[in-house]
Amino acid sequence: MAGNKIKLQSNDGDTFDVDVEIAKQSATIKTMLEDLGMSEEDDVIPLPNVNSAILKKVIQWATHHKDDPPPPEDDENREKNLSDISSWDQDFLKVDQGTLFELILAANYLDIKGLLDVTCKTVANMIKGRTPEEIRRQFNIKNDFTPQEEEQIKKENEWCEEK
Amino acid sequence: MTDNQSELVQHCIDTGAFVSIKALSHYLLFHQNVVKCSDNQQIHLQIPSAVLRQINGVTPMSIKDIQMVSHVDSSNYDMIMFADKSVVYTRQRKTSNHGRRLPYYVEEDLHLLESAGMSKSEIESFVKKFDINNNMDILNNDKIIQRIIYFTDIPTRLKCRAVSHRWKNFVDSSNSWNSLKLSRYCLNFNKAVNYFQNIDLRQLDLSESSFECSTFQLSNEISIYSLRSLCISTDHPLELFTELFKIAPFLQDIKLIQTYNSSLKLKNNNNHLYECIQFVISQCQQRLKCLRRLHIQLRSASDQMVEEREFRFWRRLLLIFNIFYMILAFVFLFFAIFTRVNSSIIDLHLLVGLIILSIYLLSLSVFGIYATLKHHQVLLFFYIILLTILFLFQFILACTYLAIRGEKKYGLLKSSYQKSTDSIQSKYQCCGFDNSTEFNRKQTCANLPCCKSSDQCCETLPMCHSLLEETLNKNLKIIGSIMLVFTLTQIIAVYLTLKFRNLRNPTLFVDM
Repeated sequence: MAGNKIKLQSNDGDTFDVDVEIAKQSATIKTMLEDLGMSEEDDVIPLPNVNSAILKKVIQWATHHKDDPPPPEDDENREKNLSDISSWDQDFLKVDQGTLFELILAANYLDIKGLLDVTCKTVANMIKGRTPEEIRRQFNIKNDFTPQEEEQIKKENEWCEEK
Repeated sequence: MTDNQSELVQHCIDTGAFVSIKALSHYLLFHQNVVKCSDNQQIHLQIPSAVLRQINGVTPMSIKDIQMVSHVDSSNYDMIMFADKSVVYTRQRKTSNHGRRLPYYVEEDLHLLESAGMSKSEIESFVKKFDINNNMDILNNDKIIQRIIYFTDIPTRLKCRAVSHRWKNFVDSSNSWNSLKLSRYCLNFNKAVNYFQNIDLRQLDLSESSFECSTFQLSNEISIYSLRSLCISTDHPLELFTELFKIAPFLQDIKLIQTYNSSLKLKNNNNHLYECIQFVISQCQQRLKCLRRLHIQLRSASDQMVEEREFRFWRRLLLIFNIFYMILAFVFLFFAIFTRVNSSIIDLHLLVGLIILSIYLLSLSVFGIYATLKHHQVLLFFYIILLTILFLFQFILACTYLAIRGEKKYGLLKSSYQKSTDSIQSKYQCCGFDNSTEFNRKQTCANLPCCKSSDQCCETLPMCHSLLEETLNKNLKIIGSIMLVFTLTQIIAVYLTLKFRNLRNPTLFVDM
């Protein structure tokens, strides 16, 4: 059953033919295929949380990264390199914030660790060097601190920053 | 099921080489070669796991679930397995694509919940939860925000802490944030330990401190351990620490926390210890400031007093020495002039030397007083050098004064006698130098009043040499001894200046 293709269906009805190996980068699809078995050629996997534009991008990413080694396990102690986004990924992620967030959601939903990492890194780079007020405005977050709490956090941060 | 498949099943049954097997509610048709029956009627099937999943999902099947049955209607079969283990599915898969939700539940799960006695509303809320979970906005998804924060660097994290409560919690719960905090704690403790290593604890006046005893106490065992380790890491005696810890109990835990923090193994189950550590840290931070302030105060009070007293003492001593030199210089000057005026025995070279010496001494002492008052390092250094030169010069001079003997002295006396015969003869009431020189008393001593009046008187006058020698010896001895004593004082002065130069000026300390 080599060269198998499966069909992925986005929530707006479009179906995409994808190599099984490519689709298996998504842990969600992989688990599903293994648990439910796969035999029928016309088996369509619906992805109700992903629209076709995003799904297309995800498939594009997965196709490019199909030969990548599996990402290393999460380990907070290991050296984090923020600038290790490949140039292809950088070009790939030159999208507006809305699309980027949808990509993150899709990656999270489909459980594609590589894509989730690279998109989160991009967002992390986006907020790098921003002030809290700018971050709030960017993500539309309400400031729920009282002035006293804010003062407290400021003090704590100063304590952490002092050499 | 299509007719084709039904025919295929029927055909297989007709060949008689197949057996029917019932697994749960499914009917399967197996070739008899695939099925092995053991003695106790148990069936050994070699079915690929994918096939089993197809039949039954993920729930495991037990042997009891599988029974060999007689053939039933061909339309009931789900699957045929041929002798070569190839599989044909004869029925549409039950799991319909319609309405299936990824990733965590399928329609059958809902049926299962229903059959387990769950009410419709509960199932609906269950479905809703799953759907919401999958539909979450990025900013409501904890996992994603955590991930984003995980990829940020420390300065950004600090800023993220100030965004909102939720973000602060995310940052605070991240591992690297904890390690950052711990590293900061370590830094502070290192500072504290360094501080105690660098200060002289003996300088702290412990009796006057106003520390109230902390209400917080770690167990005795830990205290003793940390006390000992602090003693080892610094070089102070145990008693000092015991006394110090009496006034500041928090100090006991410094080493403990240091050790603990360096391992960086802060886990949730150590919450109590973590709290203890945090308490001690805050205590440390507060008290360390107090201690430092106290230390500075004490230093400025006690140390400075001692230092200032010492400094003043040495300065005064040096000033006295210099004034003494000044007086001495004047004495020399007067002496030189006096001897020059009163007698001509002193050689002109010696006289010039004496005058130069006194002037040199005078300027030196003025220089010395200025340098001492200013506590100027460079000036004091030059002062020492000049003093040493003076010492050598004077020592040589003193030796020369004391060492004039025999021929040289005789020549000196004779030359000075010949230079001013009349004044010497009238002053010392003598006539002629000595017997070795032929002279006429009447002629030589003509100016003396004694010789003018009567010959008798003139004949009895002693020779000038012995009288002159006596006076010269006396004078030389006095000058030489004074100079020798003086050179000794100069050695002392050099020592004093060296000592004074190495002293710290306490007025500088006040500015700190």
